[in-house]
Amino acid sequence: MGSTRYDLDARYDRASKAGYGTKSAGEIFTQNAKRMAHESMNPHGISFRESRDSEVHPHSVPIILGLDVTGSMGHIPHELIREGLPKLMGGIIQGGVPDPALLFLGIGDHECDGYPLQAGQFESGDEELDMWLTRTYIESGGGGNAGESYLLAWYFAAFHTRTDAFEKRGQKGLLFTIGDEPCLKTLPASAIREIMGNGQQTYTHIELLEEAKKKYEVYHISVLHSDQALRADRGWRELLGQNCISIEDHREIPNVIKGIICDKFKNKTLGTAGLDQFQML
Amino acid sequence: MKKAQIVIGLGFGDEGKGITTDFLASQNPAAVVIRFSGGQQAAHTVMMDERKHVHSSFASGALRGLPSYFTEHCTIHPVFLFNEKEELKAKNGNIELHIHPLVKVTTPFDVWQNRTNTRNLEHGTCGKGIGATMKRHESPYKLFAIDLIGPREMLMEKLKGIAYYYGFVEENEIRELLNPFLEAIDGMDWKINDYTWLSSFDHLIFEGSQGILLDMDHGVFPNVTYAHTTSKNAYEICRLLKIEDIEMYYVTRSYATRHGNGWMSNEKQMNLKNNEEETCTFNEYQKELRTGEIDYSLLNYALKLDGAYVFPTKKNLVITCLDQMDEQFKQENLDIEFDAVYGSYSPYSKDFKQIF
Repeated sequence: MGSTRYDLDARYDRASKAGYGTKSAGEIFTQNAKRMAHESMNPHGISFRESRDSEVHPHSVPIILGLDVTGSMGHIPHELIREGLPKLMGGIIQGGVPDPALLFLGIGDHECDGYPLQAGQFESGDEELDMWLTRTYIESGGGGNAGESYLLAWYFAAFHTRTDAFEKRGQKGLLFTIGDEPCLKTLPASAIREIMGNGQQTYTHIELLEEAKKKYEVYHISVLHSDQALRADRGWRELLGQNCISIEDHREIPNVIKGIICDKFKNKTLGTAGLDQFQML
Repeated sequence: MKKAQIVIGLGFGDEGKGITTDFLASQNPAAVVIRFSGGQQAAHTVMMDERKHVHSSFASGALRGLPSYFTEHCTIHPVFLFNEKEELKAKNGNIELHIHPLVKVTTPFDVWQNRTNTRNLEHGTCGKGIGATMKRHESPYKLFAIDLIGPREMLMEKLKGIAYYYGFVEENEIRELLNPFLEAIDGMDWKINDYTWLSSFDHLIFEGSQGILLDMDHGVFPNVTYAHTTSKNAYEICRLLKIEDIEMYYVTRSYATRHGNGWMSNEKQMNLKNNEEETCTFNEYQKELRTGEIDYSLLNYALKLDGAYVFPTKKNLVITCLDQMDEQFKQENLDIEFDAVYGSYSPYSKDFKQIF
């Protein structure tokens, strides 16, 4: 994990060979045909996903991207693999944050879906990132209940990740969830046990948000493409304040994330002077 | 010498364990009937004269007047149990039911979980909370039959813990779900007794649940039941009670059935007659009863498998629903020697015939 570099040219080469631009989502996301999550992304029994520093990336910046893979949001991973990912990673690096380590989570609905949580690993290389993203099963589930399990991303980040950024430098990572529905309000111990294989405490979304905030700056990108999404957006604003970013066009996602990360990095890690120096390297 | 008779279904359930148990009960009126797997999801139909009862939380000797015993391997749901007690009382059945202290208790929260969790539905649940109960018992939030007769305050604390475990937060909702549950508990005269209670009987009939092909270890995962449906549990209890004279009654229909999702061989629409009394009809959770031609290789598989769990003195075969189709059952296709073979020709156990 995390010892390869994001190489835009290599990424474009590979993407065109793999046909990301022309293939359908079903062809790219191979788990969709199998109608099940990839075993390597099954969170059952995972202790930790780690974001560690390496020679190539001495100041790793852990970033978690919780992608809603239910019905109305399933096209976003497709968009990411086509164009978004290089924009995102390239943009972050060009913006002066050379060591991003990105972890994908697939988020569904723990009340209705077979695979409410899928977890990749923190990666910095384009090939590895593509692999975890395309390995994600776009279950397209969700249900008639009032929300999706975005709080699973908080749970996973809070209790099942470890980062050098935090442990060595006291630096928080960044956690983004992306979706168009409200957050489910409770994560029962029964669901946690089923998904993770252990756990005996029930959490509210507020409790989990607080837990995640200890190690991550928590954001939600609210995609406003329906009336229902507009209503959900209000709840997100109450919950996260300015950390709820509302967008109308999902193609904005890479830019939004890039902007936040670079901003954060500029302001909190190196300071202005440091950044100037850095950009000249 | 004490004698045990064990009734085991060789298929995916619905083989005729109820009618077979009733047949044995009719010959041994002083016996006790013991459930040793499954719980309130059982639907074992017994018909007698003008009376009919689908046994679920009571064993299939109840309509005929025999007492019931549920071992620690079973689950109970007090509301279902109470309702069935009232029903049996009206039909003049025996409502004496003794329950092992370690029987697992299904709560309204388990039922709720079972019915709302889509994954469970795909696995073929019957929506009665058993899978959820068994799973919950792997967590710290357990509830046993003995808790029903313990201090009420302690019971309430445990129930609150279970509500919390499933993420119930609204007190009103919890209270609403609990009210009928607590009323049912109050409406029962609980007889919670360990296995020593069984030692006063000379004749024990062990009534299996589901079928060997749904066993948690031997069925095709994930469409399995959360229970050992072989003779495993029954045989352990026989050993505990030092019973050596054990007769097996392996039950199959003359055709294959499966209720719920999952693999089955030879599936096809069967042309059946005289099946107006079929209990396994369409339900919301398991949908239609599926049928198929009898698969002798599967029967041989199930028989051989059960032999790994039990050392009986006699092995008998029961073939039910023989009146429902014209095709002959080919006993010669079975690898096992039986001491006797019985056929059933109507929904009444009085029409059992020994055919070998």
